[in-house]
Amino acid sequence: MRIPLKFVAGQLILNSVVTSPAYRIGFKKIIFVIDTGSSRSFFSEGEAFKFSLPINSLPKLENMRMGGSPYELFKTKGFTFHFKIEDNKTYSLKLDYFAVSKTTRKTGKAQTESQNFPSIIGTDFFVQNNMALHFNPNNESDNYIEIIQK
Amino acid sequence: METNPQVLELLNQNESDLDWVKNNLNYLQDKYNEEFIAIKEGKVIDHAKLITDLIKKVKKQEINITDTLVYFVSKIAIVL
Repeated sequence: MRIPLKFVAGQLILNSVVTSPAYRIGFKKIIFVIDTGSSRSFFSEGEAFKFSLPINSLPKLENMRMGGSPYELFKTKGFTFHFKIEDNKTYSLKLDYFAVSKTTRKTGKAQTESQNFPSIIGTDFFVQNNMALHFNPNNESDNYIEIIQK
Repeated sequence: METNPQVLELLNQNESDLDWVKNNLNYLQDKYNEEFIAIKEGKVIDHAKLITDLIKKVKKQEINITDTLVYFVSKIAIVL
């Protein structure tokens, strides 16, 4: 099974719809930037605002650095990710939890940057969900995530 | 594996809007450089420098921000 990706302005974009009964989020659109340089996947702080996630009351997962700046990752409750696959079908992936990033810096500039950062799918997502990434910048139809059947 | 028609519709909408962004990137970069835009059905619903402001502006139009495609437009290359 393959999830097609878009290549827009030099970024690989994963189109998704998410649901989370725990947060009363039903079928909401979201795009992720695929970043194989990131070892973590997360919703950006801005995305957390969009979904009205209670970021300040979420348990802390770990610290991380992004672009040289310090961030914290917070653990959400469960989310289901829905993707389009071949033949106009959809594939659903239920995760026990996901993460939200937030800057540890208190300056207005740092907080704005954190809120404006995209949501990221990093290498952990591929490892944990048994997926492979195929990228060909010269042929859009050749960009996809392959779900490896167990 | 069951396909949810509602999910498929939303994914198709997002896909079309992403294609629209890609095909109109130069126009969007000239008009909304360094801004977030909310797109629905190939139209820019609203725009703002901060995502928090965009959420408020879209809400004023009685549109849920999560029913739109939110995209950050920049002439500057974005390196993560």
